[in-house]
Amino acid sequence: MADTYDSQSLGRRVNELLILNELRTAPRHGYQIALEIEERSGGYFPFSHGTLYPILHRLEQEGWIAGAWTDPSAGRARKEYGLTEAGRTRLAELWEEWRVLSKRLERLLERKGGSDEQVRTGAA
Amino acid sequence: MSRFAPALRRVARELDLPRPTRAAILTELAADLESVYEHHLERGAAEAEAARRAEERVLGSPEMARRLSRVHRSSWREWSEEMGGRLTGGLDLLLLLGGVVPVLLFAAAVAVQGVWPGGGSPGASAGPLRWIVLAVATAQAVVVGAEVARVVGDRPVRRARLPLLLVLSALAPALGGLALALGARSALMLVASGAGGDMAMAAARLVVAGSTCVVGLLSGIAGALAWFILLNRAAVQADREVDALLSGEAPPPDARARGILSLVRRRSA
Repeated sequence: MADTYDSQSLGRRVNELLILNELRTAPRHGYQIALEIEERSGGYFPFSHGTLYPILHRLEQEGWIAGAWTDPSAGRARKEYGLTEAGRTRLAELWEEWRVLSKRLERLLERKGGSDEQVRTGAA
Repeated sequence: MSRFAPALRRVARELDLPRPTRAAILTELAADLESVYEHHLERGAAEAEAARRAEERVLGSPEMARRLSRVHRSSWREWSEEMGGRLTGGLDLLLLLGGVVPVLLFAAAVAVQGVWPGGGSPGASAGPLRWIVLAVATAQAVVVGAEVARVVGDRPVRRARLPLLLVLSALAPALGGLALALGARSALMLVASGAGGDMAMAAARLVVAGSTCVVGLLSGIAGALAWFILLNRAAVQADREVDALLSGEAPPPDARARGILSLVRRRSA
């Protein structure tokens, strides 16, 4: 886990966290992952598939998820992704990273005198 | 034809990847396009609107294909394919054919003359390495010749042969370098012995070893150039094959095995 905040890769790691977390309970197709993230977040994370596939394929190459083709005789051949053991470890790491980041950010903002409400509304 | 065929063709053109990888990605995208399309239909969208939303959601911007290509392509392949593409471009090709190739051929002829038995000075002994270098160069020429014959006969370049060509292209200069090192060592030992006649022999050995090295180097360069050009040719052919695959015209055998064609045709029906 990184000791310092890496702003460059924050977006990428959030996307990884969302996808790996989505696959935690069961394997899913690419479109299912995006739709479920969007629906479960009430539209807060409008996960574009254009972003999704490159991430999925990279995660697959990293060995954190594994893709498998479903039987085409059952209808349409689809690629389904499942979380690997390495992926579970990665998910735990990302989750911990996120907890540390949010805690540190919260503490920093509080020390500066900015409460959540003040930060959100932009009040001094 | 699949309702998404035009959109998938656009993506296919941007996916600069080997055919099996590209076919697998297109199959995945085609299946997800249909699923998202059905998802929107079930929620009451009209067919045209559902198709538009599916394309927008699944395919997104052209950046997706470029990102996918980057994910699946090694930096080495990216560089080599770019070079291959440049070499088949107008000015680069002219420079290659008009400038580099004649120089290479001339240097090769001079070097082979030195390596060939009797070509060097009398009494020169080059050892077995020169024969191995010549054998590697010949094997390289056979591989290139076979692929060029396929291209001339409008048959696809065999990608599986390209790594062999690359290995041979690396092997030839490596062996040439080894021959030069051994020849120099042998010549130095003769010079160290101090006899007058041995000096002439040492010089002859150096000439043969140097020629062997040059043959190896030239063979490596020629093989690498051929590899770049054939790789580029294979990429162009892959584009055509994917177009045929999506339009259901001429299915490649491995696409049929993967069920890609059945997917496209089923949706076209």
